[in-house]
Amino acid sequence: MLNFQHYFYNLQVSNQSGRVISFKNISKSYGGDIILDNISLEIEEGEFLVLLGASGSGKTTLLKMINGLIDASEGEIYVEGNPLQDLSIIEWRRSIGYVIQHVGLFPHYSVYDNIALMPRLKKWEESRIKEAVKDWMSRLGLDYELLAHKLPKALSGGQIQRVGLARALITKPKILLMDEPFSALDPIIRKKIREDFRKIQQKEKITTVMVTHDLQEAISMADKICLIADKKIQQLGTPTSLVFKPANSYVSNFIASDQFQAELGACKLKDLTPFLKESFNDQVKDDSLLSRLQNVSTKENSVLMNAFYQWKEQL
Amino acid sequence: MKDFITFIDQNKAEVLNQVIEHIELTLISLFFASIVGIGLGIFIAGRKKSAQVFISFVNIIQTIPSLALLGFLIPLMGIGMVPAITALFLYALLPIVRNTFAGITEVDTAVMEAGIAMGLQKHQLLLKVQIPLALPYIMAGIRTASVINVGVATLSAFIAAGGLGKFILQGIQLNNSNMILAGAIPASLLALLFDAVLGLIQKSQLKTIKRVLIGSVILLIGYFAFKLINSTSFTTDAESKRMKGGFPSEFIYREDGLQGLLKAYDFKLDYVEMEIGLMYQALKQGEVDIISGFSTDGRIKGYDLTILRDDKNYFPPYEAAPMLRKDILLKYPELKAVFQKLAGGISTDAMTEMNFKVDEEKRLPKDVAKDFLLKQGLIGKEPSEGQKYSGLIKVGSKAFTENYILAHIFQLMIEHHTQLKVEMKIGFGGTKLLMDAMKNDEIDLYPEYTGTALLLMLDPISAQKSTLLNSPQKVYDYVNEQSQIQFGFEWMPSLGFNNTFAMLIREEDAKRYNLGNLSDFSDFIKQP
Repeated sequence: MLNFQHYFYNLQVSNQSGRVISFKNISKSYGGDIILDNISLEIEEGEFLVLLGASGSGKTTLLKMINGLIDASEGEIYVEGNPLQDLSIIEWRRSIGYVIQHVGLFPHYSVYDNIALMPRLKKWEESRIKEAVKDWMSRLGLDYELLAHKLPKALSGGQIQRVGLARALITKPKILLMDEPFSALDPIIRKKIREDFRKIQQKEKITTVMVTHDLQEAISMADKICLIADKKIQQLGTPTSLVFKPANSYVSNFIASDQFQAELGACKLKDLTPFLKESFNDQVKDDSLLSRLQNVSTKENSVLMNAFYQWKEQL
Repeated sequence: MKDFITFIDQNKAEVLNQVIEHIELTLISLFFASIVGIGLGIFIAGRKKSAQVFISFVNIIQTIPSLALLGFLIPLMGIGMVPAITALFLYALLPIVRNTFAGITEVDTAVMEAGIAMGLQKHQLLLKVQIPLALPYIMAGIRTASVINVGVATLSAFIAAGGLGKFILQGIQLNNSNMILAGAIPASLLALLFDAVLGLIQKSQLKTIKRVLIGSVILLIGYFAFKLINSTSFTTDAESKRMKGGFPSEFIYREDGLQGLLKAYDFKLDYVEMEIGLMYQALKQGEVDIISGFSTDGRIKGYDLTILRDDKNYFPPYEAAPMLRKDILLKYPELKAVFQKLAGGISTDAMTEMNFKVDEEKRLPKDVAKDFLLKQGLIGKEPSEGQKYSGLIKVGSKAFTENYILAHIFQLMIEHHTQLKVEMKIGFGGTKLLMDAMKNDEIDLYPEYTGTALLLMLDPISAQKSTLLNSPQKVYDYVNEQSQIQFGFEWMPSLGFNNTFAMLIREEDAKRYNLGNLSDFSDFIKQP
């Protein structure tokens, strides 16, 4: 269904391109309770940024400031250099994809009409909409003939979230905001959707901000992780730096609960190449060690683990 | 059962007509209530803080008794379809507003959040998301309202707005159970029908609901247009000084009521059927021009009305007197002495004055009765304390002011002059009901009028009637004798006033057209 090599070719995240979103000294308080305190953060074009934190840490609040669902108490948000408040909020929202845990498909709309919602708001022609709906349904592994004219209540949880993704992606948004999008799914489906989504995201270079409390999910998906605790950003960096070079005790405590898996997840197969006789092919070199270990022989397992310890040592 | 079917069969046209009127009342009010109710529901859904205030307000409307609401509306809107529809509209409002509000506020927050985040504007959210998703709730509200309205619409007959209430109202007053059923059964069926049809719509798909709603709106608008064109042409034709009557159904259907009156004075009159309590107000407001009242009614004074003299002595005398069951008199002979004290003690003026105090000065019948008796020296202060009761007397009355006052006068007299305890069972809907209650020992006495007894109870032959009519004493003697023979009821001495039927018009009309008696009125009506 998917041409993996093709997608993986585009893996490299562009980090010299412009900043899509900038938070400048953002604070938020509800009736005297400070939730976020003086946060500054840049979101680069095309990157996959994960806002990681325990529940109640304010990560969702931060996310919702991007599309204006929540206003900052203090500070300023810039969109491509322009203050957010100067933009037409309706137009801005229409250029954002938004995916949430409970999806929020319109229950009275068919799958087709749900996905076609944004294109229709943007006044696309119906023929173009139909093309795009078909395309995106197939890219997200949804059978058009079977599902397009069903109501959401006839779908499974995984299908609903895939429709939610199709709805968010169809207009090729400037930025995609996701709030715990996979948390309600069972583990096997969750993993599959994550992978499918990540491939699409990398191919389309969609700037993505995802909120999650799940360390493994953050490590397996993110280009950059922003760990929020105690009203502040505790560390901003790649999964590897977060796991192996925690900036402070907040970060190390957050990782400690699942240290080993986090390390395996943060280690990509390609990182191990210098310590192995053979190299991996393109198809798998970006897989994490964690996922590789799930289906290898005992022998290969010990070889990989040896390489892993050497790599870790050298970090 | 057989009787009922024959009744329906004989009155097919009228039943059908009332059913159509009933549907008209229900649907028109429902239509406006839906528009306003949905609008209000949407409006308050966006303002949750003030929503509770609004909902409490429509809640209060719901708690106003239907008859009281109709009464309030007469000074504002007169009688007929308009106030009836207004009242029904107000009753239908609550379920629709509440359900719309609930439907809109209960749209899944994730759906709303997704909608907002995708850049839907407020009106788009409302039209594409909130209203469609609230529609099943809204339909449920309309469905509840329709059932309420079919029920309340039966009361529209009180203010001459037609509908199945006409049969029910007449049936109660004439004690004709077939007639009551002929109104009640179709009304129930209608309620079930509305409920079923709207239930069906409510459960169908959104698209169907939309189509049905749009279809019915178009149909109703077409219907209004049709009505409007028809009614305007009608009113221009009927632009005349013609007088319109407003009478309670008992008066319309009684042998000695309207039909006989029209025959005796030889004229024709357009009239509508009305509840007694609302008639005076309607006359004052100019909704009707002539009503059938009673000569001692306090409102004659209060509303500047004039009695058209009965110059042909069409109406029999209506002398008021207590009517008792004979066996209670045998058991408590002391009652005779009590009512002897009252004999001739209340003049027509005194009675009118008391009625006026209750109707216009809004005093309680009991207080007015007590004041009167104290003033006349018929009772002392309080009955002596700690006395032991030797028996119980049940006093009844009909449901109008004068009868209430008289019942209280009886109560006070009995309690002050005997050892008997009085239980009040007042407010019976019609003479027949009181008669039945007397026969079944549910009451022991009530204030009755000789004329009523003569014509309604004893059903005399017209020839005999006419010889009696000129003498109140003869009528009294006749009814007393017949009551004892036929029912075992005995009349106490007459109280002293004659509350006969009185045809009432506004004083200004009487002056303008120089109308003094019923013959004048007849001549005036017959003028080209």
